[in-house]
Amino acid sequence: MDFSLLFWAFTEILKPINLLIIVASVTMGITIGALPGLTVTMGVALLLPLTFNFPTVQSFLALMGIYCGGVYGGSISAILMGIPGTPAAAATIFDGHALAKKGFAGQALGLACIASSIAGLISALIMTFLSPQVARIALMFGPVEYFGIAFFALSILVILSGKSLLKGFTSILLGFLCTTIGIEPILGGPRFTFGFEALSAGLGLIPVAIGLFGLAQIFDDFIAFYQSPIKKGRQVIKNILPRWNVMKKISRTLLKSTFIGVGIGIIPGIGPETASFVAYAEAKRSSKNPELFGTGVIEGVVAPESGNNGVTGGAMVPMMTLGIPGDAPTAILLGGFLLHGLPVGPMLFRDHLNIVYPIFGGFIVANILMGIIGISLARFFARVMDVPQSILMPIICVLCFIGSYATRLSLLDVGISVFFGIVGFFLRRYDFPLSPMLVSIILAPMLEMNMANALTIGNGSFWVFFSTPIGATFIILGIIFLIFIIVGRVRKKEISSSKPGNKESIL
Amino acid sequence: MQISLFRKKELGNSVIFISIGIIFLILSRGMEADVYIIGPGFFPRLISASLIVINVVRFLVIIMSSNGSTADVMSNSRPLYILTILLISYLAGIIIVGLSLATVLFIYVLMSILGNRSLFQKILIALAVTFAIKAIFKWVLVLPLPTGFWNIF
Repeated sequence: MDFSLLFWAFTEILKPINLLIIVASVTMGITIGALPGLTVTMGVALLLPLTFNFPTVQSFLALMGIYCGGVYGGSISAILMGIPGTPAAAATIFDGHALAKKGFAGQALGLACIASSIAGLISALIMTFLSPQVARIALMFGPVEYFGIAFFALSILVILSGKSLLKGFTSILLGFLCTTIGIEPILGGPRFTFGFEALSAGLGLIPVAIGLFGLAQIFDDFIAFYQSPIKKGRQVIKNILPRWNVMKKISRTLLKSTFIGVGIGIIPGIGPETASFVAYAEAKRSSKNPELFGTGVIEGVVAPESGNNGVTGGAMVPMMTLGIPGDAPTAILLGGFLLHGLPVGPMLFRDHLNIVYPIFGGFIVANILMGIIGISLARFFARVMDVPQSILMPIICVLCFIGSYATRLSLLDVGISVFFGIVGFFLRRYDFPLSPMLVSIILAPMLEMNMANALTIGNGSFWVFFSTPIGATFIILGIIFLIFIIVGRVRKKEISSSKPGNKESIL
Repeated sequence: MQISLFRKKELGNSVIFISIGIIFLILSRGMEADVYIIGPGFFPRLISASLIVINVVRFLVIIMSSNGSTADVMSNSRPLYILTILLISYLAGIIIVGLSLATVLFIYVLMSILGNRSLFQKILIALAVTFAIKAIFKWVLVLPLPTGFWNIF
């Protein structure tokens, strides 16, 4: 670690033009993230060609600003509208939107912003100081380890199963089935496309997420409004900046979730979507009052937001040091390195320190500025809640349609979104949890691909999954976790079976 | 009475999931690979078989259990049909007349259904939202938006 270079990098970044680029890109990132359906990945992808003519450092400052701002921005619509601006913000809905409904939208927005900023800052510092060392561990991962990690993540998902484990498992399996449509990862041929070439690209995460979380919510709201129209009172937005005692209360959750995010970010392929859910599940598991999660607790906002922003710095580590992107936006950032003629991997650290250190510094500054900009704009974004349902609902509908379309410029995706909106509405009505379904859609391709590769390595023997210490550890931990949850549910049911109103069961 | 209705619907949805599992199980037959240990059909088979097993268990449990969840079962399906038809019409409208005109009409109609009585507000919001979307997506982000069969809007 060369501190003189880092100091030089900060003097470069703090030049007015560079600061202006970071402020503009972070603001743009927050806006893109806040608009349902416009993802961080898309924002980075759209900005990449525009910044190609910038000097290299400024180009990356702009891209990183979008990346950091976008990951946080998703929480704004999640909290205010109950629609995840990005898939990574889906877990923020549970408590963020519940808080907004209770009249604490300002507090939820402020906490999400502060948690995102601090988590991003910590992850940026970790990226700066530990990237080569941590990346060396990830280099040892093969298909067995990746399968183990995905399996472990899935076992954690069961926590999000809600009242019924069987319904939770059904949701996870439905998510898996969704990913089997399209080009299969083993031989690269079409699977379950039914002769429609448009289905070769698969169902797409964004249209499915918009359907399950956006349109399904609109169905719910529409039916509720239709049956008994309620005039909303003006939402009072106050206490955006969290108080010191609140910060002390959330500090443990924030730090733990940040490190979960950084850890998951470092593992290639697992992005902020998984991190936010894992961080949320862990916060719920370790809480003294887990039953309150989902009803509007501040830890339920802090955990997913610090988890998903913790990923940003973590995901940069394998991308810069190994050339392996940690998640989708960093894959596009990797393309940016190649566009500028920069080699990624150890050569980057040997030959282009004049680029590497400003990137480190820029990431740190972008996260600090994100906190300031986010807090400043929170009140403005919170005003969205004041708009009457008769105006807001059509606008959200249109944004859902545009968001589904814009990702792949396909009207089929809009149809998919409407279909999953109806499916999501019915699943929710019958207590099927939607979050495990969404996360399993993210994890399934990784699980399938690595299962196939591992079994090929092991000549078809399932013992191959226990052939490496890291892979075996994750799988055993996953199994223990599953047993622990099932036994826990059975015991809880036995203890409280005599009590009326108990709804939690394994069934 | 409501519990009984709910149990019926629970049985119904477990049958639907079992059927989905069976369909995918049948469709994944024949997807084998020569070189690889497992073919592209292995994963769907594993998943659909698990879906069938889990929902058969659910089905049996629902039949045997005396109590059931009291989740909110919709009594009036009319709003669901209205919104579904509206959304499908909007999608069809985008394909036929393009995003701009379809959006103006969709917002106007939905606002009317939701009880907005101000003609001026409905027209203003429909036009403003459409213009904002066009400005952001077409002119700033340079995304080609659907223009319908006649490429007018």
